[in-house]
Amino acid sequence: MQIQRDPSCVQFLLWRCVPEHPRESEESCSWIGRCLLHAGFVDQTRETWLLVYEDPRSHHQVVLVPRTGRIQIRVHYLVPIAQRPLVAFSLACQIADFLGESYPKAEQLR
Amino acid sequence: MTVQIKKEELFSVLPEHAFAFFADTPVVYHCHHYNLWLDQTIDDALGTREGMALRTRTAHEAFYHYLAQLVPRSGADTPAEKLKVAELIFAAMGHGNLRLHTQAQGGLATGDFLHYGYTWKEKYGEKVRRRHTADAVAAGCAVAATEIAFDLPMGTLDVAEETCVSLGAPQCRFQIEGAKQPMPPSRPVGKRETQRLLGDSFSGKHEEQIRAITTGLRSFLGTINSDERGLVQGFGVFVTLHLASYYNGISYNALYNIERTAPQSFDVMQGLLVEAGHQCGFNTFGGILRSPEWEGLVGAPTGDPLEILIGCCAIGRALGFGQWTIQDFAPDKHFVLRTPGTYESTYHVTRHGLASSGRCYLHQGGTLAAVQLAHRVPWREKPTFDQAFYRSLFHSDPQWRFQETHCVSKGDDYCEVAVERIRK
Amino acid sequence: MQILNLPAAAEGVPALQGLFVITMPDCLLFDSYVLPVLQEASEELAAMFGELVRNHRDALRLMGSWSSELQITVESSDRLLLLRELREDFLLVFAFESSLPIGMARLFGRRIGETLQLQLEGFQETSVDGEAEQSPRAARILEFLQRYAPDPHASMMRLALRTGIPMEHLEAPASLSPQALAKVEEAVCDILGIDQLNV
Repeated sequence: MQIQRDPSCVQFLLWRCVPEHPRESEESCSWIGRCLLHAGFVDQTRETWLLVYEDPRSHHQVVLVPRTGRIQIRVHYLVPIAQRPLVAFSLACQIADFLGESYPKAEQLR
Repeated sequence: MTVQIKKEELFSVLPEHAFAFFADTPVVYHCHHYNLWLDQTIDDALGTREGMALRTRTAHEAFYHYLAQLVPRSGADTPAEKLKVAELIFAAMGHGNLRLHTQAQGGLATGDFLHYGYTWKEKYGEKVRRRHTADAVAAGCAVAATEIAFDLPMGTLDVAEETCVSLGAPQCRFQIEGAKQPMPPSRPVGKRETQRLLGDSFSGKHEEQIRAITTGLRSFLGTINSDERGLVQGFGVFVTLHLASYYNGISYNALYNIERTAPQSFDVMQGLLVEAGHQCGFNTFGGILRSPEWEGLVGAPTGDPLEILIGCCAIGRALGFGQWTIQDFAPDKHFVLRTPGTYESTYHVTRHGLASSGRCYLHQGGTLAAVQLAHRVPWREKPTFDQAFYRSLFHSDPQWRFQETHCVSKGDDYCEVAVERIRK
Repeated sequence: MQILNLPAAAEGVPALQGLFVITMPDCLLFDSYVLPVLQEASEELAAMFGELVRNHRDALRLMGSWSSELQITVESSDRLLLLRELREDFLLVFAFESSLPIGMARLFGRRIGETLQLQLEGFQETSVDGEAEQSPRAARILEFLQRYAPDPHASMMRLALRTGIPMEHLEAPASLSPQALAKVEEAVCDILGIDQLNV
């Protein structure tokens, strides 16, 4: 799994997870969604084309696009800027676990 | 009694003209890049003191007319309830948390995460030191809300921002007191005034695709709520639902002031107003096109220029900029965008009459930005839409030139911007 | 016209492999005096060195240092690099053999810098037709603005609007009157949020 700052990232809040192994997009999103629910996330999806899961304690979100398989981590703005990359990294490791992928490398957190 | 703002009842659109209204007041979505740039341009034109005075006065007037429409429909009865409505609606529009501790004779208002001061600090705080307060819009809303709450005529009170987060203060504070000078009366430019000016709408090329995306985007925008800070952070920008009268009021008053007092600067002022639109188009449209929301709704951008322009027309409509239609397009050569009207031209004709040339600066800058997005962004490389990227593209070598060939402000039936490749 | 005499300036300096003069902020090679091994990459090196100094300058600015002269040393196993700002608009880069003690490198750097500074001043005085007092300062102020303005692509337009001075006049700073220059200084301070310009 790779992690990179999202193209529209402001102040290290948005991160993109890119799995190493390609999968069928909808199936993959559906699987990650189920795993997130199991891990205590809450489903906040409003539109079927954009799946949104939120951790009720930290308010970090994982956003999934069934159409393309895109995975976006949204770190909550209350996290101090310096800690945001690490929070994103930790969530990316969690998603890597769901997909049976190796963890992203810490040097990708730039 | 509990005050309630029924957003779905108060929000309306004229879908054929792509104008949006809240409580029959023209509103439009804009990002912090546009908001900050426009305010800065006003200060550059008039000087900080005069600029701030104009911005505050215009916000005062715009919010007075707006709240005069909105508060009676909210069920608010007492002054405290009316002040609460103003606080709620201000936050719901993405302007931050404003607290009004005021009486009929004035008092104190405080602000946390106010859009202008907070986003200025986020965007520029590490680069330059600010020397004056930033929240004319919050100031205007605070004083207007107090007047509405206590049934006072507009201009009874005056306001000054005393501390501001953009200057390093922990909180913004506003002092409201009796006005020393009367404020000239003004009539609102509302839904009725806007509709009166609108001719028949029309369509352009690829209309079905644009229409379908617009519908999806409008529906999605309707679900977006501000966060606990009273801010809307999405697509890599801070978004506000704003009063069109504020933008138009400050732009045209400052522009005509410059025409009178420093005519040699008229063109450069127009250029900076266009730059505001360009920054809006590039950052907000670009952010939306790169967002998971867009990817889910439309698909990831492939880099096909036509596809980007179709997307931009849909975004322009959904944000309330007007019925953006594609009249002509040849990749890498030219692009013609036409709309039956813009929120700028309808205001201009109502308040300032006819002009000698086009006056839709957001429309000009936004159209140019759409073309730049279509041709100069390597979409497949997933570029980061940040300040460095913006500078790298636009610091030199403009590549495209534009002209507002038609404008309702100068008596035409529609507004049209033509963009053409510069050949060397 | 040859403006700088680099061989003369570098004469007698041991272990010097290369000397680059780079214009800032555009990071273009202005002149160089280098061993053949470095010759081919001179343009590219100029861009890289310029960027490097610009980044450090930005970092200093974030820490509140606005006008101090900047000097950077880079030590690798086979080379000692010294990057030294020369006025606002030029950067000198010296490539020494790594065996040269760093103190010596700094000494030579300062000496060569002083020599080149004199040569560049002569260049300006002859090129502005007797406006030596006003125009270099005006040009430096505008460069300072371009370097530090948050939105440099539009900074000249902002300056024109703030001062009421047409763009074409600002683009020829040598033509600015003392009154216009005072307006420019005030507006640049306003745009950058600083109390005075140390340029």
